[in-house]
Amino acid sequence: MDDLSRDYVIWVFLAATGVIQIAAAHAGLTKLLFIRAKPWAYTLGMLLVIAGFAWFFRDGARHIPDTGNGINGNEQSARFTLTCLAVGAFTFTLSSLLNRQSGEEASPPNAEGFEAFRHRTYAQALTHSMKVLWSEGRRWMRR
Amino acid sequence: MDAAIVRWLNGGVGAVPPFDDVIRIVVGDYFCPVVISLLLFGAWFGSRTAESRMVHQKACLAALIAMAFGNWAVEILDELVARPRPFVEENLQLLFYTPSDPSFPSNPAVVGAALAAGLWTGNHRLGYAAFSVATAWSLARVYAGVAYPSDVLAGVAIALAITATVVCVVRRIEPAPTLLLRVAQRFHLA
Repeated sequence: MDDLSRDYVIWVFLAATGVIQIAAAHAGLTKLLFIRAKPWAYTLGMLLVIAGFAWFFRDGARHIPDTGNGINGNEQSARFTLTCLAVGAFTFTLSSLLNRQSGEEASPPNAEGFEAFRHRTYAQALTHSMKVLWSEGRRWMRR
Repeated sequence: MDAAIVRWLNGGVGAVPPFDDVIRIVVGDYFCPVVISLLLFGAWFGSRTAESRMVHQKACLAALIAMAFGNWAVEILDELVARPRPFVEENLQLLFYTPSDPSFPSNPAVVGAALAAGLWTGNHRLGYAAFSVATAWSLARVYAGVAYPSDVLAGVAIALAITATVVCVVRRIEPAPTLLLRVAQRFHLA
């Protein structure tokens, strides 16, 4: 991976991680946060976004033609998507580890998708969903 | 008229060097697309209710599909209308490298407007923010001497038409998008 591609991935990784923290704090998805206090979660998110941009543009605008060593549009889309998937995996893992001590709160039965993150970490929510899916599957098989 | 606007705008290059430094970043291939994409990424996570999250996520999907079709339309039009860039025909002060692809329609205008319009259908506030970034990107391309205003306007028109079509299709094929998101919800990915 050349310097530009590496810097691009680091930039998107930092900024997207920050965006998730800001969005999760805004939406009240507390179990996705790295820091439970919302004002600090917003601050951490903003710092990560700023750090990402500062990292990539530390030497000024990077005008490298995509016919040379630049990243063309399709490559950029692919790198952005893959980095965001990695950011999702990183956030789900780290927030599950950091919030595992706070315990699983009573969750309404219809808390599907991101709504579950109000009460459960990703690891807890996924385990719960798989159990529900398994019992639904067994009930369906018995019929 | 087109060339006169480019000459007039580009005539300001060098008058305020710090402003040109900002434009050099805005006009580039990375800053604006990443900012708009991050707004989309934020919209995927950032809703306060499950209902509005579903609306936002459908808008994100529509925006991405519209961008893909928009890029395809640009590729086709590049073959049909091989319009040279302004810096080829005019004596301009470039703030960007010399792109080798045709000028019409403006690819950044198509990408920016498609993503912004798609996002706007689900969240007006984030949509307007994305439109602001897309507008800055397009204006910077004209100021920097790499696109004509008509390239930008055509790009925006193409993007809006494609996004409107995609949004209509997404609504017509319901409940398929809802089912897709429900499957993702099972794994807590939406």
